[in-house]
Amino acid sequence: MFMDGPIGRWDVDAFLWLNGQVGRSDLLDGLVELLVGDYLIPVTVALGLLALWFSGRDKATRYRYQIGVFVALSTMAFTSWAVQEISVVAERARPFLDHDVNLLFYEATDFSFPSNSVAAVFGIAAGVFGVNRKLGIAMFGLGAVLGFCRVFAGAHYPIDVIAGALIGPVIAILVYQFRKVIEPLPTWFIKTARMFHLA
Amino acid sequence: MSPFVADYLLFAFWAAIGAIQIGASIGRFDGLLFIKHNLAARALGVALTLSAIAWFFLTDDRNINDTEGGLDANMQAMGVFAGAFVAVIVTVVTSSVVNAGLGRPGPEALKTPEGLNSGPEGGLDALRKVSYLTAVRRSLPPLWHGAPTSLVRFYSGDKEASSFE
Repeated sequence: MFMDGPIGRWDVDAFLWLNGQVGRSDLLDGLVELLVGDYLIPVTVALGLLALWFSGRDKATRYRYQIGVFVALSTMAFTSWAVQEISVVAERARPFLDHDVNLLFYEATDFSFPSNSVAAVFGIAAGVFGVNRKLGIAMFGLGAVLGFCRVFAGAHYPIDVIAGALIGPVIAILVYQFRKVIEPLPTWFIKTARMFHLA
Repeated sequence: MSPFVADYLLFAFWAAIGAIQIGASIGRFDGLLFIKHNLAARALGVALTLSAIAWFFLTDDRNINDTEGGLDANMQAMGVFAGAFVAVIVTVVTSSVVNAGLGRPGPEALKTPEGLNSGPEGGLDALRKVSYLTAVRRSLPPLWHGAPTSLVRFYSGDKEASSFE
């Protein structure tokens, strides 16, 4: 695969350089240890979806936001599935298995390519970006921070993160294009929630 | 349930309460707010969310693999969904108590049929003027008495669907 060519060599060199910065600043290391986890940024993005659900000031805006929440959640599910399928084909080992790594993360047991968490956050961000530019950009920013931290902490190679950052938005676009296939369901759910003053 | 899972669920619930306060304050749904002043309610929401994050991440090591007591992606998503679901219930109950007097019709209004029948708008818009409990009490009985006809009209788009176009 491309991992054996010049791109793969750049990928490893870039990873080793960035991960080699670990230990130079206790503050940065501590910050990365906080941000790199499976919980902080993904849960923060999910909380953004919850706030988005309630934040539309008129009915039409709120409906658009709530459809955006459905697109984002569907994207997250499809992205997770796609990443699983791609990773078993690529079979790329985690960096700490092949290199001497400064690990600020636990020794993950799944494949490295592509990054699942980065793909999920970028997928959700792309779904939200379609209905709320500011919140979408903020989520893309969080995804970028997560991607940087994953490489810095020794959990992924740069290409893993870049692939995840591409897969999520591509799936979000596909979900948005094909949303009419499942369209009655979101609208029925929103109407039912409206009946109980929750949408 | 392991202590980690219990902590995660509490974190998701606590932070979700804050997220709902932030969203409801942006949407100006006073009936859902814990504090009547809009900006103060938003500040409370931010404080709740940040305090939940600080409590969860600064009190213990949370970088745990799902094979060693952590949660896989599916369980994480279910945990957030469960926390958000309970947070919505706690929010509507608490805000109904806090805002019990919000939008209550005065004695003059109760003397006229228009005042008595001045029901809330649909959906979340009702919560701009009244508490959640008041909105449900005003809106559900007419819907219930007219069922199933009213439900068929509601879902077929006669009354509501046009606003979604």
